[in-house]
Amino acid sequence: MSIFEKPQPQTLSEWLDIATKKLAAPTKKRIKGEIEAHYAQAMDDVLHNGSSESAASEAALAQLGDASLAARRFREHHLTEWESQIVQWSFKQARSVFAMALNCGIFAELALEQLPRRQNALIHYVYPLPYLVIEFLAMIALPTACFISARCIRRGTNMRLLLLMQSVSGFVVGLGLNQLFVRSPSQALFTMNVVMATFLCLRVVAIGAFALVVWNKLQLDRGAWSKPPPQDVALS
Amino acid sequence: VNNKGTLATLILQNLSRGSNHGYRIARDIKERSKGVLDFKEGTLYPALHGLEAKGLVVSHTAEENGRTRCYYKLTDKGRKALAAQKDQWLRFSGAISLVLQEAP
Repeated sequence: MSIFEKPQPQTLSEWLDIATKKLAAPTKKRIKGEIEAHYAQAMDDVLHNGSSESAASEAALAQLGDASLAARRFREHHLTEWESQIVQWSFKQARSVFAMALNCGIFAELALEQLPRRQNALIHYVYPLPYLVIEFLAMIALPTACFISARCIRRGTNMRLLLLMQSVSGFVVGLGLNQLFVRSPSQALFTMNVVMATFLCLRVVAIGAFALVVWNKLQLDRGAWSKPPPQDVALS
Repeated sequence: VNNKGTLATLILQNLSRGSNHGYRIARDIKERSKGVLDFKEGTLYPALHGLEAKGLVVSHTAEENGRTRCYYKLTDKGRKALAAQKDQWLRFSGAISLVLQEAP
């Protein structure tokens, strides 16, 4: 055997360990159940033909084929542990009362900046009204839609839509937009605007791209984000 | 069998006769093709899960001989996809046959 060749699994447990590597715990559990039932029936069929138990086990395992290939194919359709954690974090963020309150507070502060009595303040906006409307959408309307969706609908939450809404909402987006609309009296503030705008674009692209990557996976692993995965999924 | 394309069509065809579980789907395909279409059964499940992700099949668990099995059933969307894939395959294989049967 070459040093580059991976050792082949000798038992079903080893095969399952490889095939379900990096997948989220509930998915591991599902695949384990299906493959174990498949393997047991395959063994029964071989034993029925008069083979020994070890020969039956070997034949059933050989019939399953390459575990690494199966793992790659499973990862195309199921959330990995890492993706599952991001989705869960995103869902948690959408449900967070603190995040919602923070959005409202920051929006209120930004809106107050527009009051006539504070027009002599240091910061001025290029288009105050469109700015406020966009900020309202990003910091109040969309987060509220996410909040209601995550709080009230729970397992039935449309996680795809929620992720897309989150990519363009929240206080990070609000503060980024703030920098886009602010009139820049100094070079330092202009540089900060550019940095914040870049950060805003990266955030929107990153979360949006993530939503598209896991689009089909979310259909299959529906509801995986609303309950914590089991602590121990032993593949024995 | 090209697992990413042909196997999916074969699975949909098998499920068009009624709901079935992975082991029996694999056996049916091998038996009906008289062993010509041989594939490793470990790749059958990712293919089934892929079809489920696309909404072409739905799954449910049921007991069979004391074992919990995951059964798959074709959806209306899956039925339409199967019809389209069969049509495409028949046209393709017919065209290849026409070319191969051409007299030298």
